[in-house]
Amino acid sequence: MSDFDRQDPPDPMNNIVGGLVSGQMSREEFIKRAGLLGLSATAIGGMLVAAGKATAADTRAATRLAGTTINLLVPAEGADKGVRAQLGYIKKQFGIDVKVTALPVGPLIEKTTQSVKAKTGTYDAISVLGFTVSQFVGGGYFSNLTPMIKKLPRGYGYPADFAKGELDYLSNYNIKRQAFGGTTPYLIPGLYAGPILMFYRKDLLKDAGINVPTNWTQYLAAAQKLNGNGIAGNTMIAKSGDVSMFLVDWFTRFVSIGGVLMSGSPQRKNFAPQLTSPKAVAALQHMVDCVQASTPAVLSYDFTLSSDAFSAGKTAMMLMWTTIAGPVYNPKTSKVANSVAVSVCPGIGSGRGKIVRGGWGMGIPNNAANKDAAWTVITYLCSRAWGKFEVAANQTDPTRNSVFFDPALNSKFPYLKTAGAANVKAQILDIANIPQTFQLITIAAEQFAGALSGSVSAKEACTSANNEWVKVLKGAGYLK
Amino acid sequence: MPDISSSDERPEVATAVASEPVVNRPKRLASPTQRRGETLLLLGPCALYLIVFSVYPLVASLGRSFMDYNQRENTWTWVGFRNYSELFHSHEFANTVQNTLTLTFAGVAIQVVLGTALALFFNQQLRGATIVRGIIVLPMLLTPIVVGLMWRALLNPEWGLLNWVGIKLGFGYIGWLSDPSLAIWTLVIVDSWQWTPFVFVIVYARLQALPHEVFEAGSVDGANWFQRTLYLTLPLLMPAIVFAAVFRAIDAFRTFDLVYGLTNGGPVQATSTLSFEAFQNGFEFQRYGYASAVSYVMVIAAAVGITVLFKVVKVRRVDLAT
Amino acid sequence: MSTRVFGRIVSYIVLVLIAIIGAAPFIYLLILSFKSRLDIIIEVPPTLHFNWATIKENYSTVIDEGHYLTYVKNSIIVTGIATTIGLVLGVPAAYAFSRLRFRGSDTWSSTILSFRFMPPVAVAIPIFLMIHWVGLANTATGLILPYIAFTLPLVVWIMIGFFDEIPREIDEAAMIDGLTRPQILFKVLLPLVRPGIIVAATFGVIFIWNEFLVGLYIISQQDKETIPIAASSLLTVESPIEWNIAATVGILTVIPILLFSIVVQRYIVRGITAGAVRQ
Repeated sequence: MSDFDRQDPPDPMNNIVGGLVSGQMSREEFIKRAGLLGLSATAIGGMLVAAGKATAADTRAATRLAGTTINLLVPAEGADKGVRAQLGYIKKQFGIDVKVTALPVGPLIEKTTQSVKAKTGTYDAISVLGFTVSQFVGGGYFSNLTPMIKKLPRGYGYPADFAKGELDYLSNYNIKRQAFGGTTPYLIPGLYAGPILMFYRKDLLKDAGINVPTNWTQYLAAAQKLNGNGIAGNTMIAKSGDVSMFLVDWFTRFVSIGGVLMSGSPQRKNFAPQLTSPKAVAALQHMVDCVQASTPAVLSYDFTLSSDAFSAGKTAMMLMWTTIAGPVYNPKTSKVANSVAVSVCPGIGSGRGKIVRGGWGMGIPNNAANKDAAWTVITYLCSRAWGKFEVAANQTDPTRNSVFFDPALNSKFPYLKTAGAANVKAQILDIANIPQTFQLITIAAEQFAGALSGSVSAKEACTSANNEWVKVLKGAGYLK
Repeated sequence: MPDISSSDERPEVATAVASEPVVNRPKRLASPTQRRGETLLLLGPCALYLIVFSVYPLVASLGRSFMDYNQRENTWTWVGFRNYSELFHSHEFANTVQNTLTLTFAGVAIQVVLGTALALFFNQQLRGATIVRGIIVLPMLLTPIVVGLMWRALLNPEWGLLNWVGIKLGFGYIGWLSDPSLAIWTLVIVDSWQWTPFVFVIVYARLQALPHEVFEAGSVDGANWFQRTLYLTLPLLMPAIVFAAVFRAIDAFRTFDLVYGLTNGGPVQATSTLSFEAFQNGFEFQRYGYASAVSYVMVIAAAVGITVLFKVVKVRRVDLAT
Repeated sequence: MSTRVFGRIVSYIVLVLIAIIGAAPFIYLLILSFKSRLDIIIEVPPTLHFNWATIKENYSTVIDEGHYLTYVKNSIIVTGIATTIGLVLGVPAAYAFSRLRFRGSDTWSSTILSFRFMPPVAVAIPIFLMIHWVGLANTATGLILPYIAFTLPLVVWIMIGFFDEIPREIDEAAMIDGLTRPQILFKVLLPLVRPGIIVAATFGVIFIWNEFLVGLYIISQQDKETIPIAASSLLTVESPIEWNIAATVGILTVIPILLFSIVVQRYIVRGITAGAVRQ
């Protein structure tokens, strides 16, 4: 049976539960293994009860939450399928009824805002996008998870199994200083991360005798050579105002050649944009050149169109969020599933592979009704077990290093360890800690589109974007 | 039913039907108290309901338009006219107004012309016309978000049917939904696809109701079809056309669902209409005060439109009464 | 070929074109809902060769996993109750406006009718706050209450026209017989305006069924959503979209209203023209 067959999700728990029930595995051994798979005490208690091996304490732990219902809010970008697939399992093992709401980013942010500000929240567990962490966590709406983390079984892997950058971005936050990082966790990184990789058609490159590009000059040259005969040498997200244009295509080029986006800091009121720096203009100019080595339709591309074009076999290379590009590896959704290969994004020297950090974290709002049950579900969804299942079933990206580098998964999905490496190197967007993140990115993407369509030069576009950013930052009081 | 023309023969009726007790016969005209009571009973619930769910929200909205909502602290503070002044100086608001006016006037113009043309077209006897008439009524009933979806599929730059046809015909690639200067016209086209049938139905019904003698007289006089239409039919249809136009204009002015489903206001606010701007500020940016101000500008504009409509309707009532 | 024959040929061609333009978007979406995700991006234009297994998979994904039937149930409940109460409140009011001339009746009727044209977004925020404040968020009642207010002006507008068509003498004769106004309405006139009630009900149903802006903020729990609210979060412009599933969602969203409209077709036409062609 193919690994892409959704009807048969691998259940890592089956083996050890079987061992426990048959008596081959001792209670202690079971607890250790279950802990390694990342399950909470309640879950473990539940299984011990089911297997008839529970002590009184185990039973108390297990039945405490039986019959509760929680409301879960997750993004509708692919991983929600994996969540829904395991609802039956969650109900069986923990006795918790999970009502899932999966929404696209825009509505999700709106619903989150409504829910966390109400007296009693609609949702007990919420996925928070990295770019909105400063808004929601920084706004004090989420619970400090330290006491609950203390009770996690040893071997759960928090914080050891997560890249430091990920913990700083999607877990720890310093509310007083309104800054990422620190030692107080409000979220657990999950359901998926969001590294950016370079996707290419190994067959096309091989036939043309081109080596995998490691810097941007090579990338452009390869695109120009491969462009034609119904194939786009490269594609990018070029739709006016699309935030992914800025994050995936521009920022990757910029930061991988050593660019620094902002100088100063919001607190010191000297937070100034560097969009007119030579590196910024060079990055945009490179995109302008790449547009020439692409299909004319590229100016309409958002990330779905770009990925779909790749899946339809019409593209030679593209940069893309690996989570969004998941379908290109699946023969059911891609014509070229067998010719896809990935590499870290081009760059100069140690800049190679540097990308913006994306991803989501799961947390419990302060006004949640069922915090304990919410915590159980969160720990399950952020566990190794679920991570492995989700990668196998839907090819989205995990958040844990152990899953990224898991040998079994990598033998089926060779791109995983590359994505894992990219995930480690990703850096937090400099403007992610102010509420105007989306607004600024959209403005930049709008201005840059002018250069991509040829109406203004790259330098002019960067200057306009910079001026708009200065206006917004001054209005917000971050720049004098 | 008793003979209604004999109402002033009541006294005779009263005496003729002796078996009925006279004392229970009510007065012909209800007393003022009873009339008022009846009015209250019939109108009261409806009026009360509207006061709670339509009037109060409108008033509350007006109040909020003078306030500012602080997201972090969940408080409202009075700011007087600041929201309005921000509105009128805002470049984005000006853009939104322009989009709304384009959609309203260009859209309605297209719909009126096409709708009238359709009505005239269907005036001939054609086999199968009934079925086609039934088909073209359907777009108006569809959920606008799904209409947006249908057209997004048709206009998809990679695999959409319309783009394929366009390329085959030699037009090359057109950024229907991604080119900021083109997107608003795409919105106008889709809106017209959905609502031209509305104009058609109204004008066609009026056309069918026109007496035949008018047309016969015209053709006897030797006028050809074109002249007859221009000088006879159209003037007679004018009331219906104007009614449909004003009605459509007010509705087009309020359009939200289609914008949400077709372009989400994009690309970059190129298709953001007033309704959408109010929605976005209110629900995405949580600037409830500002959003209320934007909505109120709409309410005032709508009020103007409604006054116009009622003048039109009143005029016609007089028309038909004579 | 005589001009007349030529003219008729052209007319038939135009007729077919009109039918195509009117139906094409829907048919296209229908075809997409029968295709797999890969086929959609590869087959340009889509072939008419369909795979029954694919069709079943698309539709069962939406209906079973997507809780489609729950949404249909919610839509039916909300639409049915709101329309019915709208009629109960609106028909007597229309009758009053048609028959009773009291001071300011014209102003009152114009005011009520003018609510038909209010931009929903202007009242959406206060209504949302109101519903949340009384704790009716995420309930069918929370949706029904505002929806009744939205249908009332429509019902009153349509019914005034139908009541106007009935001669006042009928009322007067009934008054002679000793009936009060409310009795006249219920016993005598209701049977006469039945077509009007059906027209008003039809428009109420269509309007409420398709409503989603106000509903979007009253309902956030998925199992309480009506069809358009659910569809709105699945079909947004900005997220990755599986077109075959999206197309299926779209088709399933409009099928109920299309079936309904085939049944009440002539009432739809009557309703639209009721305002314009009152004889």
